[in-house]
Amino acid sequence: MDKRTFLAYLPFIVLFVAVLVAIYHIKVYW
Amino acid sequence: MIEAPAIATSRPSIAREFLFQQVPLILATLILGVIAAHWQHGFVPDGERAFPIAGVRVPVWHVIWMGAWTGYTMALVGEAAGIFALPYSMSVLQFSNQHVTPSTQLLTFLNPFGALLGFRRSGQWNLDFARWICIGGAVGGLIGPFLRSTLLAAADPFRFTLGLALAFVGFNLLYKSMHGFSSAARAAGTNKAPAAADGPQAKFHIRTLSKQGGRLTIGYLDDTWTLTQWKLFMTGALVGIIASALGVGGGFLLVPIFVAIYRLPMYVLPAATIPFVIVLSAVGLLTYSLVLPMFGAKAIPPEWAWGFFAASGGIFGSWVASKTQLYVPEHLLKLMLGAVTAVVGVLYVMSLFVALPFRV
Repeated sequence: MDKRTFLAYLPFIVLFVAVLVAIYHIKVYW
Repeated sequence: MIEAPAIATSRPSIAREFLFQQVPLILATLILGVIAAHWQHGFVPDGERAFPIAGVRVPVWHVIWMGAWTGYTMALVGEAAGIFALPYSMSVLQFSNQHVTPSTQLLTFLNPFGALLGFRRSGQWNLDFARWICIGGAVGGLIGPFLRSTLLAAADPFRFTLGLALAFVGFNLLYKSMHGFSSAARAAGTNKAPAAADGPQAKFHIRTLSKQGGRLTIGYLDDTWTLTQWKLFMTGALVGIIASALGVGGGFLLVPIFVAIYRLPMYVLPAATIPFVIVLSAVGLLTYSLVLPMFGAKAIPPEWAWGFFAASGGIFGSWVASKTQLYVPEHLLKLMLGAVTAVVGVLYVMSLFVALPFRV
């Protein structure tokens, strides 16, 4: 994957990780 | 499609910019977070010991991460971190008492400083344009917290009002993503940056052409706009009241107003919106902590460490966004973030009227 493709995908990767982290938090701390 | 400049040639200056401008800001806010935690509570809260004011257990890295991802994704679509960080703090991290508002306001206060430096360097700076909107924002920042401590004191009406704001942002983003292909190039409010003709280093200042009788005329490239000071003041005050009552920066309302009413291009807007968000947030913070008790209301101090930690991530996230925006499929991202924001907004609004089968 070249740098431009990676940067184009980055926001979606970040959002995906954000969802995972949110689920982790809900499972551990709620 | 815009032909992006080669990444490789600009990398050394980006690395230098990051190292000498962003890293000090990020480190300073992190250190302030630790100092604030010790000063306010005598320890640094984490996943084991709850943030005393927020009343929730959450690791510090998660607060930093929240600032980073909300700052990054929202800056990519022209919004600020606050409008996403606030519902995330409330619904995921369960920080839903009144103190969430000034705590997020600290994030919205600190977040734009990195951008401010960049916009000033690129000539997107005009204090005559910013002045009256900021004075309005200061007045709004004095009034909004009183709404939060009275009408919006309870969780339900607050969530409802925030839901309206989120739904507005969400549908606004969805609208922009739908119209992104056909009319973006011609529409008012699109980015009329001078980079295409004169290279990215070209400076095109926003000039003050005349200033008399309460009317201000500003010029940028070949266009001029005449603005009435009292209208700027009233806009700033109204947006300021709503934004400081919720704990967001206010850019989410100010930008569409400027685009729809004054037909100002996006390139010109940061000259007013960035100083506005800083002034409004500063006054809002002061009002929550100091002005409310002067008028017999209970102070609503922020969880200072929370705001600083989130801001350190937010500064990093919005800086990364500003450097990588050209490579991102903006319409798709607007569609996704718009949909998520609109759904959360609608759920918040609905939660006042119906019992939802899950916690929001």
